[in-house]
Order: sequence, then structure tokens, then C-alpha cells
Amino acid sequence: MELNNEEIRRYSRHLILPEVGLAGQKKIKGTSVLCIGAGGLGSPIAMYLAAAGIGKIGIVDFDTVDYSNLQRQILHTDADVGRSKAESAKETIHGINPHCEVVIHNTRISSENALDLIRPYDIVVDGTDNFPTRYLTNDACVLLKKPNVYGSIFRFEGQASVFAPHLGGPCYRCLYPEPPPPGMVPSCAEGGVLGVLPGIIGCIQATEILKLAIGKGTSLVGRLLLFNALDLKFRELKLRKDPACPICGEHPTIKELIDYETFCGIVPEPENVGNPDEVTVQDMKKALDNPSLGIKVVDVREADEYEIAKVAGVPLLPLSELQSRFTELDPNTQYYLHCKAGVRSMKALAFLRQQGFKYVKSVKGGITAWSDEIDRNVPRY
Amino acid sequence: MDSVIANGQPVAAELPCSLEKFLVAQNLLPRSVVVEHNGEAVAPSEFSRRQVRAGDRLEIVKIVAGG
Repeated sequence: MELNNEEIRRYSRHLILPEVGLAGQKKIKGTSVLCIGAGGLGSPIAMYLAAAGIGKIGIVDFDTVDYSNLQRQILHTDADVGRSKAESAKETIHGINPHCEVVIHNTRISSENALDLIRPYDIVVDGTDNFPTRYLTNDACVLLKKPNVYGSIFRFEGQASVFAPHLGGPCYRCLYPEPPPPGMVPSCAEGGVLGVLPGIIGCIQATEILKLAIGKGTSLVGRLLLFNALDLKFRELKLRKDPACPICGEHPTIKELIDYETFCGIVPEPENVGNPDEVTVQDMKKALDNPSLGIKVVDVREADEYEIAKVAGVPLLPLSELQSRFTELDPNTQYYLHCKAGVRSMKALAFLRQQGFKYVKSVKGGITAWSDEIDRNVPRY
Repeated sequence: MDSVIANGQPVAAELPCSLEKFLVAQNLLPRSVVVEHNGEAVAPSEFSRRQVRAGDRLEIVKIVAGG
């Protein structure tokens, strides 16, 4: 790995840093990084890594550029709207540094392709925007023993860490062993995000990658760095490897990639797509079986129906009485409402939303679906 | 009611109790938060055994997925 005269001029401010020097710059050139997501976080990461002299950057993104991306995704310009993000990213990176090899993967990362995508790279950087892809990225990196440079953002707050069980640190699942129920944690599309926030968190991720490349400094392995833009404050939490972690713990139960959509409770059936207010009877069962999730199930049918058929452990609060009795419920608690078939529970949901309840879902198909799919002992009427 | 200092703010709770119970009482999903207890990292599998007492310091961070 040699540097030509043009590269020596380009990287001169690195070369005169004793911690980098010629040897460090050659290591940076010899490092390959797979950037999963070319959005808010992926933009500053890819641009700074290219400028800093990373030899090869892979970009995984299947999406196209939308106007709503331009507020923060600085890889893409107004003229790129409608184009493939991966193509647009490649063009921007080459404009910054033609010495950087860019490999584009214009595809959705999945359990089928993740190991093959990641295997050729030294370091993976997680700039994705959803839970299934974050768990998939984590598991694939743990299985392949690749450092996973993590960042995530929401509204005015961001988090960053380096997950590397093979270097003695925790992985994503050591922090968050299970995803939250679908719809409980809003995305940036739902909740918004300050445009510069991914710039700050992405630059922290890029910093960690360069340090891993040159092998200098103290990495974020075993620490979670938190940033709040409104208060302009950083804080940091100590992390530990969980011995009970299902993938990097003492007795791992996950030995290959799984179905991450199912794991995150996302139901692929077409009739369930497009209604974020609904959960399934399987979700309702999970809530009843796991009180620690903090989700309460409430039956909004009328008292006489409750007498005919009910699900054990589910209290009754009839829709007809909801207006006078909703104060018995806590607006900050998560509720799954069910009725007979799913229509009245949607009405109850709409009413509670108006009263300021944030986390209410309607059980699709109601107690009829429960009887069909979960417990045939519950009579259908 | 007793209280702990959570993210720098006093929070009233029925204490002592397990960390798991404390989180649920605060309407948090215990599998979706990272917790530091009196300056120590706590793994999620320890939440149900870990006792929280009056005056303890907790740092709690919720999961976010945006990118």
C-alpha cells in the first residue's frame, strides 16, 4: 500500500499528525468500510471517510432520493431527486476523492444477502433507519466478527457506540435484547429530526472508524455516547456485555440469521400493510404473556358480550361508557384495545387519541380473531 | 413516597423494588432501554434481580432507530 505524490499532498494534514503519519494513512487507505444506508447518517460518514482516504467504501441502499431527504442527507442534491441513493452517493464520493473505490449495492439488505455483503469489508457502519435492519446488521456483524459502528437519531437526540464482542465489548442485543412492539417507537418520518443531528452523530461514527483503522485512541467500545442538540450536551453511559445475550452471550441461541421482520413484529400480509394503528391477536397474546412489556389490554365491548365470551385477564371498559370513564386509564400507558371484530376498538382508539393518549392500538379482528387463531375455547358469537 | 434521581431529576417510586419493576412503573419497556445504576452498567438480564433503593442514581436511555 503506497501513496503517490498527489495523495501525499492531499493527506498532508494527516501525515503531519504523529498519531496518523505515513503509516497510519496507509492503514486508512488499506481499510474497507461497508456503509449500510446512504441517508442522514450515511451522508457525513461516507463523505468524511472518502475525504480522509479510506480505500474502499461499500454503499448499501435500495431507496431513491426524495425531496424530504435533502434537509439532512447531504450526499444528495436537488438534482438527484428521484435517482438511486447508491448511485448519487457514488457520484458525490468520487467528486470528493477519486482515489476512493466505491462499490454500490443497490439492494435491500436481507438475511439472505447480509453475510455475503458484509464479509469482504473490514468495518461495518450502521446508518439504517429501522429496527429489523439494525438487528440484522448486528447479528451479521457478530457472526462475522466485524466491528459495527453504531449511530441512531431521533428529533434532537442521538446515540453512538462501537459494537464488537470479538474485541471484548457488548453488541446491540446486549443493550436492546428485543425490539419494541411495532409502532411504539416513532421513526424520524413520524416524529421528525433536526437536519444537522445526523451530521453530528455521523461524524462521531466516522471518527470511530478512522481510529479503528489506525488503531489509535480509546474507542466507544463499551460506552454509549449520547447527544442532545437542544441542551447541547453530551453524556455517556457505561455498557457491559450481557452474559445472557442471545447472540454473543455465554450460551448463544442465535447461530444464524433469522427473519428480522417477524422478529420485530412486522406482519408481511398485504391486508395488514398500511394501518399502523392495528396490532394482531399474536401481539395481544405477547402483551398478555409478558407484563414486563408494560402493555395493557382493554376490552371495549358491552357487558353482555363480555359475559358471552372474554379473554382471561382482560378488563372491560365498554365503548358506550368510555367518554365518562376514560380517566380510569393512564394516557402514558400503552394499550391494546379489542372488541368483537376490530371496528369499535378503532373508534375507541380515535376517541382516546383525542384525549391525549399516545400509545393506543386496536387489535385487528378482535375477539373473533382471538378465537380463530389463539384460543378456540373462547366462543365465537 | 421515596424517590431516586433518574437522568438528574427526582422521580417518586415505591422503593425498594427491582429495576425491572421500576422501569415498568415509569411506563418504560425494560427490553428497550439502557440503564446505568449508581454509575455501573447493568445488563438487561440483571434488571429483575437488581434492587433500586431510595436515593439511587439512574441514567436511562430509550432506544431510537432513526438514521
